[in-house]
Amino acid sequence: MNTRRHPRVLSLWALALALGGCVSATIEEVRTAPALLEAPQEGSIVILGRRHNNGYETESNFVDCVGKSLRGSAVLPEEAFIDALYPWFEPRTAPLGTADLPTLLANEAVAKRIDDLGVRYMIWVDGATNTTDQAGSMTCTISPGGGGCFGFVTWARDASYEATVWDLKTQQTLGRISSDANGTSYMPAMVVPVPIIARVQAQACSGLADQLETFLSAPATENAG
Amino acid sequence: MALRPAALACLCLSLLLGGCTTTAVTVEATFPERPVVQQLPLKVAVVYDEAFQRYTLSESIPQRGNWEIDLGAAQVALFRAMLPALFSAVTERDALAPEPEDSTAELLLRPQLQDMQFSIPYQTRSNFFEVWLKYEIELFERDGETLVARYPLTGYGRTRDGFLDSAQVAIEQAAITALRDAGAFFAIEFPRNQDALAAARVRAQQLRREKARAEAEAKAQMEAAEETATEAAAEVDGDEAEGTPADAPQTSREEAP
Repeated sequence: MNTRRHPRVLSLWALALALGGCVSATIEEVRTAPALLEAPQEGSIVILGRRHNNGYETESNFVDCVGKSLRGSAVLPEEAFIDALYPWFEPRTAPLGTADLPTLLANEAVAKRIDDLGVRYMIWVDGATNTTDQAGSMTCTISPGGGGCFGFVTWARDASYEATVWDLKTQQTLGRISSDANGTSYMPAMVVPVPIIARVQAQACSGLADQLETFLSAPATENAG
Repeated sequence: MALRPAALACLCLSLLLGGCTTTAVTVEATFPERPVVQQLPLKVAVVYDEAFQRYTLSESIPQRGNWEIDLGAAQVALFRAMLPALFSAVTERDALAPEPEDSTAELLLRPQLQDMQFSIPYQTRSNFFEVWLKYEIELFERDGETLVARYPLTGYGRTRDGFLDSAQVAIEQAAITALRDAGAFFAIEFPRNQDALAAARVRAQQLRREKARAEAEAKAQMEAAEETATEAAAEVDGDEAEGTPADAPQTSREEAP
């Protein structure tokens, strides 16, 4: 490859990164309780993704992203929680939604272990990112003399997640926050492919985390339970 | 430019050799040591035989080379972490044999991996590496011979094909998930089947008693027959000594002129 082309390639990549694909995001919140009964303490929040073998499962990197995006150290890592509660949150045994949690908490050993961990609020994240449309084609060739790609590919992705905040002590649903983001990515290629990626999952994550931050930082009511 | 044919040759050679590579995966895992399960008032001895401890799956996938997945140490680690939470006392044995007199174990438990399968995205045209495990837990009485029950156990795990993760890492993670899944199933379901286990033990003990009784009867009959034969032989010897065979066959007498 001609060395003089390097600055051009770099600038193309930089431009692609700067532009990114267009993403539209929608955040909705439904609060079923006026405020948290008790302000979150360190390690008192756990964020769990839907885990089930036969259907879809919420991507673990999305759950990690939401956990890390929530400022403060109140979030107990998902892996630590699942290990501490083994075997009740494995893909085969994990509850499929908050409706199944009361049954699980009726098990005294499970309830005691959760209490020992000091977890008060469980945030249940359900959803996934899917590719909804795809078009175009690209051909890449490699030979001893060099190589390159030619073509144009575009794809649309939709990230749709819902977080349910649950108070384990009162066994009440405190609220629901949904985050939807969709966008189209492009990848034109004239020798070098230049991806213009719509970061839909990252957008959905940051939107959900920001809204959760607001939700959890609402002042605790005086009748702390 | 002179290097180009050599480079081309190297490329062809590497493509050809690609199918001959062996992907070796050693599953190394630690499992939660305090599972949240109901402990049973039952003392067991667990038999980890040589085949179980050193289990390695070898398989060849067309165009993707040979795969060797060493699961032995990981599956032993799973049972070592899980069983002490389920049973009040656990001791380990290397082979199935009658328990020593001083052993407090009430049952012998022998896990056996009957089948292991895996798939890679190339085979399934999906984004997942998958692992399936099929175990059978055999429960024996203290004598190491009376089979009380066979308990089937399955495990499934999968991992998404990560852009930066190697196939080894993905298969190892899928295998760990499958082991955890099998362990979860056993830890939750086994305590729920205690009535069936108790009934199976009673049935096994009855069968053992019946077998012992039948063996004793057969032995007694054999001894009695031997005793009769000995007495008869002694009488024959006595009669022969007197010269008048008392029990000579009737036919012989009839045939006599």
